[in-house]
Amino acid sequence: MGRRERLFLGIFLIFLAWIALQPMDDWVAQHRIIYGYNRPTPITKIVEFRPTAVTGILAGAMLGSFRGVAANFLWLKMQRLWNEGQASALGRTGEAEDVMRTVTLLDPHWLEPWTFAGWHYSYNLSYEAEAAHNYARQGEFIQRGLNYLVEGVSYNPGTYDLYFEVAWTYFDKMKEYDEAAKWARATLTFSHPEFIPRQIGHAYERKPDIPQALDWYDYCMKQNPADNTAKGAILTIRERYLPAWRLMEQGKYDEALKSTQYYLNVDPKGRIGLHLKATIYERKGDLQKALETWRYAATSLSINWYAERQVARLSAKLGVPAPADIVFLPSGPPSLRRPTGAGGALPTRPGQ
Amino acid sequence: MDKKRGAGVAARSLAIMLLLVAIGLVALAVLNLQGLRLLFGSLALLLVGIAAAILLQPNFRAIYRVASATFFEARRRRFMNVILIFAVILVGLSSFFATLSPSAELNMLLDIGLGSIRLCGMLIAVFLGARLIADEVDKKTVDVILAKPVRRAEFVIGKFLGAWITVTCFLLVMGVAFFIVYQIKAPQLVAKMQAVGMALSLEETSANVLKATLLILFEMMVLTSIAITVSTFASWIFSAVFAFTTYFAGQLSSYFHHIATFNDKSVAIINPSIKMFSWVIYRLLPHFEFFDIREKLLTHDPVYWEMIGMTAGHGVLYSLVLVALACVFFSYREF
Repeated sequence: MGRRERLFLGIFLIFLAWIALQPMDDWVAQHRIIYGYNRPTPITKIVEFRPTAVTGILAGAMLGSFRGVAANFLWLKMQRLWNEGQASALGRTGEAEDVMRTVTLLDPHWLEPWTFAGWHYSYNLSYEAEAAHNYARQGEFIQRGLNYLVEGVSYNPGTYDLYFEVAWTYFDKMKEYDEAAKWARATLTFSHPEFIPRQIGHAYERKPDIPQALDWYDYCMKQNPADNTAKGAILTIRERYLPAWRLMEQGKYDEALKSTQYYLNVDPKGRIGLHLKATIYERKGDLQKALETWRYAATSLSINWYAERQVARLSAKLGVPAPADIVFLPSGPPSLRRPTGAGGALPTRPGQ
Repeated sequence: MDKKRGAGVAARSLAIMLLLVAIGLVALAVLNLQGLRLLFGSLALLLVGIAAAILLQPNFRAIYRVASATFFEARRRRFMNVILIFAVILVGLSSFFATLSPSAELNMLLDIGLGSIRLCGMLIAVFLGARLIADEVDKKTVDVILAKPVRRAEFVIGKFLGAWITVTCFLLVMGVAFFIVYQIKAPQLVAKMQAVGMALSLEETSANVLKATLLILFEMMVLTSIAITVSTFASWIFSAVFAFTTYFAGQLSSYFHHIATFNDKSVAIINPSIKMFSWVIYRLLPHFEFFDIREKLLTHDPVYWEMIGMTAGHGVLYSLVLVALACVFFSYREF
């Protein structure tokens, strides 16, 4: 065999070995995905051609396991910006925001930056906007915080933390009780703290959906008979709201309203009582009274986005303009959003 | 004499038969009959290896001598020692960096410690692999070695083994340094995390650290083989740049796979030529991300030995294919 033939034979054998290696290659690749060694590649981010996302993800992937180190150092920078107060001043969030975004993209499976970003927007910055009476900006910040958290969930679907953060933000900041309950229920598939089912009960209680709330509190009691919070909640609901709810379900609306009013006389601004009263009016078909009650709940309590959204919804249903002093987050369907005018800004709440 | 010639003919015939069977097995693996690709592929690789050993009849003594000379020479290279000192300092500082992130101290410790080992291991593997053969050729010392009863393939294999043993020793030093830091710092961090209800144990986390370090070793084996293969026909600078590029591109291999298998027709940018290109790149590139078990480390989930074994085996076989290619290139190189 000549020199050239030997060369070609050698290359052919290596090619053969390389092909024979491919099944093992595929086995490892498949098992890495099955057993969670590889998180799903956020390919949609690449094909959507979102420049910041593409750069961050590619840089993160190319760095391999160094991306954690890079993210850690950027996170330290974020903490410095935070300590210098650069991250908290409204309208001057540029660098801190960029760093935060880069960290989440460099290491999307590191939960803390997602949690931090969600909390920073939904709480710190939204509070600053509220203090400046800029409610449109406040809504924008809360929504941005939520977007961060939901995006974080898409990268980390297998852990409890971010689901709960989303649920809590919906509950505490957005006052979207159905969404809060939905996200909190999602956490139950993972190892979770004891208070989560109670949290779901609270969400349904505030909506109100009394039977659902009672179901969840019952569940808490079955899990832990010594759960005094759930026990207290069950007693309160059974005493104050369940009779009215049952009467409403039987179509005895006037009696239900009377039963609700009994406790509202003691606490006229009671959130659950007001929400229940408005719900009874609505079931009765007295939309005008329901609107007035929701409006009272919206204006008499400290920021009650839930009631405000109900005002907007009912106003649209009745074909009347939403009252000017009602400000609500632009998170509902487009038909419910308040016209923002030429400036694009929502009106601020008067008297604050 | 006739007896010896007869044995030689018989050995060659056996090797050719094994190669023919291997070709058949590879064909079966490609067709994926009965879903037994892995079995057919592994058998084919085994047969190719045996056939190559019968045909080449390597002189293990010569390989051992080249490898040990390479190891002792590599130890004296100043840049290697500088990298090692730097690595040990960095690993030591991982404990300090961990304190800067109070909510994720353990993760920071793992990230910085293992990241430093990987970074410095990568520098050592690339620069050592790229320079070993290139330096011998430049200084003409290769002529002296090859004048002795050492075949070119044996020289390359010896160089590769020597380089990998050196890298292993350096990684061992860095690994031990990190393990000491880890054993000092981790118990309190793990206890802290357990106190807030996280389910993790020190034993399992320590075992994961050990497995991660082991995988770095095999990752560096692949990287060394790439650097050595390229250095058999190119300058050391080109080899180093090529190895670094391949390393970073290899971390993206799953992206190429996703693009190659992406079937959403609504996304027009993924056209057939891009998919084909991605498929070729995916198949050619070494998949360095296989050696990364950071996800499991940070979530404190167990890492199974089965996965470590398959990944390490994949790394060894990939390296052998590359070294075989290096032997072919070097055997036909004109000095």
